[in-house]
Amino acid sequence: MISFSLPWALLGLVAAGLPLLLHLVQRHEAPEISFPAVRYLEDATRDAHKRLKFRHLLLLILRTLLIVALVLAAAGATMRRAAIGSHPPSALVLVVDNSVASSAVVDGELLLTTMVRAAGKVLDHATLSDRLWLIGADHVAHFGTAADLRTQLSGLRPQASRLDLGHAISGARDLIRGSGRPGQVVVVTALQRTALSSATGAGDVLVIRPSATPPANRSILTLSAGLQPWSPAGGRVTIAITSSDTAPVPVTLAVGGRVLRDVLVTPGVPSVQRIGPQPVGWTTIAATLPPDELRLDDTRAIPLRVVPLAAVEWDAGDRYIAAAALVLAGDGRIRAGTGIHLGTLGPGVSIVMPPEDAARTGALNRALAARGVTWHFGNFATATEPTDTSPIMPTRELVTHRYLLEHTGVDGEVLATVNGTPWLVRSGDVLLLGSRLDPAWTALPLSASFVPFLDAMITGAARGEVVTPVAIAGEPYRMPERATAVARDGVLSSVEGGAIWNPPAAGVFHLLAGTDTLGAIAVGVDPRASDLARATDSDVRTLWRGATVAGLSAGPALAFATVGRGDLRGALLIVALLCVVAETVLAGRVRRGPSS
Amino acid sequence: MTRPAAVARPDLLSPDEVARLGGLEVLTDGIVEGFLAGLHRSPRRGFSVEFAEHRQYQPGDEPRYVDWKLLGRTDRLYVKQFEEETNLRAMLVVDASASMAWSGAPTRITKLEYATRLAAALALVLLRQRDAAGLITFDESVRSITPARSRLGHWSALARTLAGTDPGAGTAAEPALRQVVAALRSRGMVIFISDLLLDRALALKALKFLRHRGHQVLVLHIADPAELELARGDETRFRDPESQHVVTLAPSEWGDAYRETVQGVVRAWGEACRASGMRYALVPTDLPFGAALGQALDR
Repeated sequence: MISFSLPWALLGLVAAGLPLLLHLVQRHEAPEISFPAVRYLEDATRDAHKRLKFRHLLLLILRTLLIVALVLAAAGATMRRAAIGSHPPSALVLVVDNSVASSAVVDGELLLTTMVRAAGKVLDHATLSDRLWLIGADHVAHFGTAADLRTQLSGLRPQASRLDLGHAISGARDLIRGSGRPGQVVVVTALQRTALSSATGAGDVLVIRPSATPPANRSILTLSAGLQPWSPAGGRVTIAITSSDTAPVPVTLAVGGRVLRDVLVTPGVPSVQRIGPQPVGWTTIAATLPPDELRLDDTRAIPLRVVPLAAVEWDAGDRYIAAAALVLAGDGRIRAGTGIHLGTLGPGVSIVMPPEDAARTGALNRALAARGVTWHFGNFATATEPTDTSPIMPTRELVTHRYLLEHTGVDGEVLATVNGTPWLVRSGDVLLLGSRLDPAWTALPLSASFVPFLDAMITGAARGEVVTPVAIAGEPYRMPERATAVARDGVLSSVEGGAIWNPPAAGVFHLLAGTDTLGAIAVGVDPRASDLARATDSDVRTLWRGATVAGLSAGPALAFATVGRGDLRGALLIVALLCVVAETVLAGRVRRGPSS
Repeated sequence: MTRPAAVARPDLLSPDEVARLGGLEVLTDGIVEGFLAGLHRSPRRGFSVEFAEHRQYQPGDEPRYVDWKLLGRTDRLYVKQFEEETNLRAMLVVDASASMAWSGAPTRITKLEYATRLAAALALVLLRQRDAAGLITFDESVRSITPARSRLGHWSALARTLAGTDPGAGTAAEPALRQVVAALRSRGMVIFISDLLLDRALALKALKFLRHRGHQVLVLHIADPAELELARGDETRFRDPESQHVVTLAPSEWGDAYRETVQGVVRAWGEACRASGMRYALVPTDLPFGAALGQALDR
């Protein structure tokens, strides 16, 4: 509450003991004389002794107080302005953590409701001259008056996204620094342990958190359909859950909105469930837990794409491709046929690799141009470089030889890159790969990623569909180049192809390019957001040095309390002066005796 | 017993100057002589005893005792006869406790030295007017008893007893005053000389009893000036020489309160004595003996 600009001057407080020391020393040195009329002394002092003793005590206190006041003034004592009056024009950023945990029901009330109420009380302390911002789980800073922010607060709803508190505080500090005013970041949060991270910048932070124990929680951790698309024969899903205990929990499995079965799943132990034959097309698989105090993470849904088996024609002499194709065929992912040409340019869907003989590259480029393909093979490059990660190539594989793929039109998209340059591209129904799938060109055929890579190319990319990726609600996701909109539960939202998109909620979002469906994204709750365990106050103070932590009821009163500090030196010097005056008067009375 | 020629009026000197001039017996004579000489010059004549009766004037009677007012009214000569002329028996009761052996300044005599000189002078005055004088000294018990005699030579015995009185321990006046009852069988006079640092209730009870028995009672309160007015100074530990009780205080802070307390004590003794028909006089030890005798004998 009180801080000092020259703390070393506090050593002078040792001098505060001087009056007491002198008093004691003087008592010990009193000389003794013989005096017969001691009884008169006793009579004289009997009534007034208490009064004089009190005056002596008061003198002692006054002299000690005088020294303490002078020392504190010398040490440059300052105090929170709130303790000594209204705050100066300030900046305050109110971070209301309406992330997943705020949807928990505590003591029969939605936690967010309690938090919003506390945030409203924080705004009660604001004045018209303050600059105010409100930041929610979407990380968007809303600027306005206290009344504006109250309106924003009333519209807050629990979000499926996770709020990184350190990130939010860093942004809030930037806002305050930009305002050029003294300021304070007030964070109203469930204070999940998983939400804590270090913050950049400097400035006062007030953390207002619930005092009640967080409720127990269960959540769907994983719901996976494995490699997609599926064939009409069906497939397997994997379900994993988390819970605060280890008791098995019934999970309801539904496909396309139809309940399939209830499955007993033990927390921490993935459960694999067989899904029978499914019709060709897009559908949704959902796993749902029995309701608990936190509902947002009780259901998880993923898109499921069921397609007819791809008929693939490959060169049996290409040993690596042939081996991988046989594996895929054996696994029911593809079948041998003439639908998709793997390795060479055919009349239909083709996945084209550079020819072994460089002399045939020109003819191939001319054939590609004749098909209207906007990409062609360019210069040959020899350098050992890794591929960049991408949805179709999640691992990094070394590439030694490759043709640089050159774009000659506006159509087409890049599916994978090496050192930032296109390595796998698509134009219409033709995919061009910069390297031959041969260990002499790339290490990919020898790696475990080879078969999944081929599967993704054949069953997904070659059809022009996005393999169903998993995204986290609130976390940025880069849209495919061709995407123009996302659809969820029949509601369309426009998006910009190639731009960053923040999934607003958990669920299945279909990616659209005009009227075509490019694919779908499974957006789930960040597993960290389901962990309601609360950070300790000391964790907070350690991570955000100097932060103040308070409960939802007491915390709002501390808003603006750390904004600016009042200089106490003037007040202390006045106290010292008053002490001197009082000491002079009292000492005179003591010298004149008890009757004065 | 010869009086030093240099001492013209020892009764008017300060007590410490008197003490430097010589021993008790020598100086007492000088004090009394000087006191009586001063008394003759006083406009008021006679001794400090009450008027008793008139009698017919006879040749040889001193004209100063003629009652001129009565002569004016009756045209007859009468002389006033006083009680002292009825051969008074006086008993001097002197406090010789430890508290009396104290002086507030090196230049001042102790209260006991003052009291013994005053008692010796009073005894001499009494014996010279052919009254009987006796002496009782006490501290926490009776130290000595000298019966009352009217022979002038008796003074030497009284003076020796007084001169040989050393300070004792505590103070208990009641036993000494009880001894007076036995010593004075007929009505007489009791002169109680003490610093009165004793149990006031008990002492007053004993004195009132004496008064009830018909004795005249005179209380001479001997006090060192330093006991009446506390010298200003820093914090000091005051130890009672009798009880060894210690009080620590700063005289500069308590001077006024102490003075008020002492004045209250003096006032209380005076009022208590007056109420019982006794006389009380405060005698500081810096008061010349002549003045003290005057207070004692109401002259």
